[in-house]
Amino acid sequence: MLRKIVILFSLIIFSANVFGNRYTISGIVKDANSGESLPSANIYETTMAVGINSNSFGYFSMTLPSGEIELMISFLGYETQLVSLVLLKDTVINVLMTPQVEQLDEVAVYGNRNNKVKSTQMSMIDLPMEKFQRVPVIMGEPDVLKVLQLLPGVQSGTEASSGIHVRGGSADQNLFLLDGVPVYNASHLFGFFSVFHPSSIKSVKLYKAGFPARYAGRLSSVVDISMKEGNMIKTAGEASVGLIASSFCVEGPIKTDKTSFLIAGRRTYLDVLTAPFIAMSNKGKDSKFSGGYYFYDFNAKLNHIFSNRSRLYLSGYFGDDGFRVKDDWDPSTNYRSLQKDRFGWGNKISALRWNYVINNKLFSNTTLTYSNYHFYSKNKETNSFFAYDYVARKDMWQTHTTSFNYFSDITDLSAKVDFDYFLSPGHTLKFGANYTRHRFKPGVNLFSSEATNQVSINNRIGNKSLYSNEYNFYLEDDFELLNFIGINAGLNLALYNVDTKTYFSPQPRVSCKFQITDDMSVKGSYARMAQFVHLLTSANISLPTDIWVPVTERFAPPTSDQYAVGWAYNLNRILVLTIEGYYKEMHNLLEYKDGASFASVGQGWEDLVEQGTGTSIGGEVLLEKNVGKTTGWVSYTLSKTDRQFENLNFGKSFPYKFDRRHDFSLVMTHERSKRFDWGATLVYSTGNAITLGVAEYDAIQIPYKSDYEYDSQYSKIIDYNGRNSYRAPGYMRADVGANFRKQKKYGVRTWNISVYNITNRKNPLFLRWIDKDVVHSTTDNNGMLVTVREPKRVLTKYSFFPIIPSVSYSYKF
Amino acid sequence: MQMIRLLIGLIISLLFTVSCKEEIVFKGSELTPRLVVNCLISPDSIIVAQVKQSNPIQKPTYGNNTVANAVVRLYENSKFIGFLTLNTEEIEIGNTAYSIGEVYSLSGLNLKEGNLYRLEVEASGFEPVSAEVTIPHPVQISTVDTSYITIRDVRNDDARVISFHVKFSDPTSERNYYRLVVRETNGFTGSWGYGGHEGTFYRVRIDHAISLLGSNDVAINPQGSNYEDSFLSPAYNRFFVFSDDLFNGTDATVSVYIKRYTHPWIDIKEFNLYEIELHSISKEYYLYEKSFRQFDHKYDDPFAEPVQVFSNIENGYGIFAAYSIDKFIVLEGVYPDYSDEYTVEYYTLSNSD
Repeated sequence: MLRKIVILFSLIIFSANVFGNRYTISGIVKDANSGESLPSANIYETTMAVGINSNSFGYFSMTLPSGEIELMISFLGYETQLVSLVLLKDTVINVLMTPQVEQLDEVAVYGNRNNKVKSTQMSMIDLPMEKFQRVPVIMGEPDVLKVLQLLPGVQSGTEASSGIHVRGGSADQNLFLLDGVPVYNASHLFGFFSVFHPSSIKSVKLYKAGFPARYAGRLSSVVDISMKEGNMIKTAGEASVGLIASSFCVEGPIKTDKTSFLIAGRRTYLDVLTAPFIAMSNKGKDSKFSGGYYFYDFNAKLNHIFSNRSRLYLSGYFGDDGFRVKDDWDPSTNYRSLQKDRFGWGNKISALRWNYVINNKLFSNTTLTYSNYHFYSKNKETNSFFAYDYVARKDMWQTHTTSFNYFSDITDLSAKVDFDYFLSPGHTLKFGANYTRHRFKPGVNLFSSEATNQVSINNRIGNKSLYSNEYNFYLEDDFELLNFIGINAGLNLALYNVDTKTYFSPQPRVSCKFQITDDMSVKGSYARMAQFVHLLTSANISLPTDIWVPVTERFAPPTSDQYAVGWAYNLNRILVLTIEGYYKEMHNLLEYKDGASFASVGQGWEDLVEQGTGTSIGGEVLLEKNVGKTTGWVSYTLSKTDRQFENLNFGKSFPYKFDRRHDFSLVMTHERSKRFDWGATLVYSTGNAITLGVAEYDAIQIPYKSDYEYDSQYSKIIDYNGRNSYRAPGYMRADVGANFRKQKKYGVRTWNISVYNITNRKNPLFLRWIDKDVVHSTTDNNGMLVTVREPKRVLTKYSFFPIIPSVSYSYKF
Repeated sequence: MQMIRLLIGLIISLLFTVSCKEEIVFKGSELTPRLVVNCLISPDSIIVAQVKQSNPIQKPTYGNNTVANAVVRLYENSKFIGFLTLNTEEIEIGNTAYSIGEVYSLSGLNLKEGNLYRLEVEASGFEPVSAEVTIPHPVQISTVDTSYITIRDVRNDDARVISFHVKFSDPTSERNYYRLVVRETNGFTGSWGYGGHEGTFYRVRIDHAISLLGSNDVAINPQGSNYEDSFLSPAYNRFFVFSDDLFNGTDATVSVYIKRYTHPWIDIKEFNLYEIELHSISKEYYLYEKSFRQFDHKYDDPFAEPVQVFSNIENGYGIFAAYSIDKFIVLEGVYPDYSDEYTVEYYTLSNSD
């Protein structure tokens, strides 16, 4: 059988090379204004009616029969280019594309409108920056992940959180790649903002199913984010000032058409804004309190072109959240207390990538990456007393200082090589290998104590670092058969080694497309995915104490098998309708045991979790309009997601907490003119599945024998009628925003005004039963009017985000 | 961990202060009250059951929920053996009798291990409920080894730690569940101040108590015995309930310890009589205790997933479970010889003392 498969593959691979004189035309598709390479541009040879897409670095290669050829090159939002030439030898061309938006007031085109129909890839959404920068968002801060939440099959967690749950998967099942580097913590401020700074991003691709074999490491989605490369032609930039944060992005050539740079940064200033108010509240008090919260992001990228065949990228991202509190209590002349607390968390990632065109058909990319996520907390308390010292035999200041530090982190070092082999138009082979060394520090505590005339204590308590090795090899073959069948078949082989245990995980992938008409196709896919790290989290919001831990000998890697079918239809070349259905099984999922909470992790975390399975089934509809002044999409998802664990919910299946039967989004943007555009979003989803008490009863209180103790401390038991069996009220929100632009001497200024939750709907963050006495009057046996207090418990909804208007100013040059 | 507490506190405070509250209607159907039956049986001549009613969560009750008109039937191996009738039950703590409320009971029985018992309860206005349990056979303690160390604890008090290493053979044929209980009778003779006659009275004081145990045994506390950090730790196994997961079908040794603080301020002649009981408990009791322990521990933790307490009462709530006991006695010191010259005081201490 294996032999037959090898022969078949060989025939497919070499079939393209056996006919006549053929030459290869290759090159890079670039933006004419910035020199930025354009991935996924469509290169189409009109006479032979064959085409290909440029790869992630804008590179393409087509091997064609010698003679006259005409290439039509198109890309989202750019003027289509026609290139005619006589192909008599292998040829290299660089195609410069002119953006449309600068020329047309009438029509803006976002997206290759026929890509969804013609591409073999299904369940993938390519989100250009222009698209999401116009979508109104909270606090006026454009956010990649919040826009992804508006797409079918993608659900948000709690309100305003930037975490995503894709097709029933949990938040740790999404692989966020920034320039190919995994980002472990993709959010700031407990998940309300994502770490991806919009000004520095070139493109975002979301894969929900039909995962190409080159991706591995998470069960439910891949979010592949590419940073801009840096303008090769001229210095350009953007700066903005918002309600809570300011940001900037500058890019430009160091040497024109050779070397470019990009730097971008963002910082919040809640800490600065609140400082004067805190200072005012401290006036006249013994206790001086200060503190604040901030986060920042910093992106940098260098890009150097050695030649048409060789190019180097060095990129980095550094971001941190920080929180500090200082309490200086000075109540008297002989006592003083000073307490300082700080905690923070963040990512540091960097990538060194080298593109090398080995020959005009074979493109290589070699990458070295570093990714680190860390959390720390530092506490220091100093108490000073002016008292008699028995050693010095006099009154003096004596101090006692204790400090407690806690930190945890995960660090990946990775080396990767990828090859794109362009065999013929419509036939590309991708293969490569990846090695990652993971280091986990689940939690280390440092305690020290120093006091006047006492021996100092320095203790370090913590878990040993855990090391693991991950190897991936993949082969992916993308080809067309009979001109109407497209197939992308591949295999990813993963090896994971932790302690003495090695897991081997073959992950077959296949996607196929049947082109029914030029405007209609049917697709199907199967993908097996595996992941070797877990995020231990129990809260509904993203907390810095959430800890990544590796799979172990005791807990095998989670895997998923997803089957998907889809139908794509290009309606009048204006609207694109896609309908997809999927069924996903997830195995070896981890969940905290009942009652286990976060922070009790680290050594022994394996005793706090249960392993089980999950399923998700659903249907998704996406209707997009990417052409014209008014663009946007309508998405609807009907889905059902369950979990089943032997020791949770007494072994019975229960709904996943973010299981939502209905999820609907409407996103619309309208460009009235170059000076004014507006956007609106409307979101509705079924409420979260929560565990809510329904009845109360007495615990056992019978002595076992005559002198026995009572068997309970809390004498009442709450019955929850099953885990996640209650539906919180549905979620609905409408946002609007508008951009007012004006051409200035050196650039374009934009005022953005947006209103989040314009109807001021109180969406639930969580529900609690609250005890309350209901007072009413009645008459007693003697006919006297008496007041009676009756205990009652009321269901109370806690909402967090009312209507939030915001304004920001930006200047682009 | 202090910082993590601070973080948690900050988040909770933020959520509760910044968020706005609104009463909403509970969309589920309000559950009609159900019968709650709590009953633990062992080979004995008496069976005692509480029969109460639940209340919908919206209508908390704090009084006596006993259902007075219940008909409670007991079956042994499917054969009806009698009705339980309503009584007021009391227990004695020291010399005082405390009412534990109204219970249904039946005496003159001969409940036996290995037999299947079924409880059926009916009451007007409630759906009938039932439950079954088999009394497990006791597992014999083969021996109990003791070891001693002296420690100085965090309060700078000297304490003697007595460890009991309980050895038994876990039956191979089935899953087994256990509970360890140590009862102690201890006393001392001495002279100490009493009623203005300091130093003139000699007396023997005898305490009966369930020992306050600790355990580092992984079978009992996989997380160790650090139960002081209750917010961050899993629930402490305060009833020392465990399964044979780690030693199924083999000779097992499970250890518990008692800390005994010394009494340096009085002249004592101490004796201790320890009754080490290995309870073989039914699976129902194990699941109930384990889940109840978690529920009790995490009830107020907003970040923890709520815990559902196990119940085997069909159409109702509560627990019908069983156990049997094997006992081993360890004696330290010399039991005092009472005579007229001594005044003897008896105390029975509960764990809450």
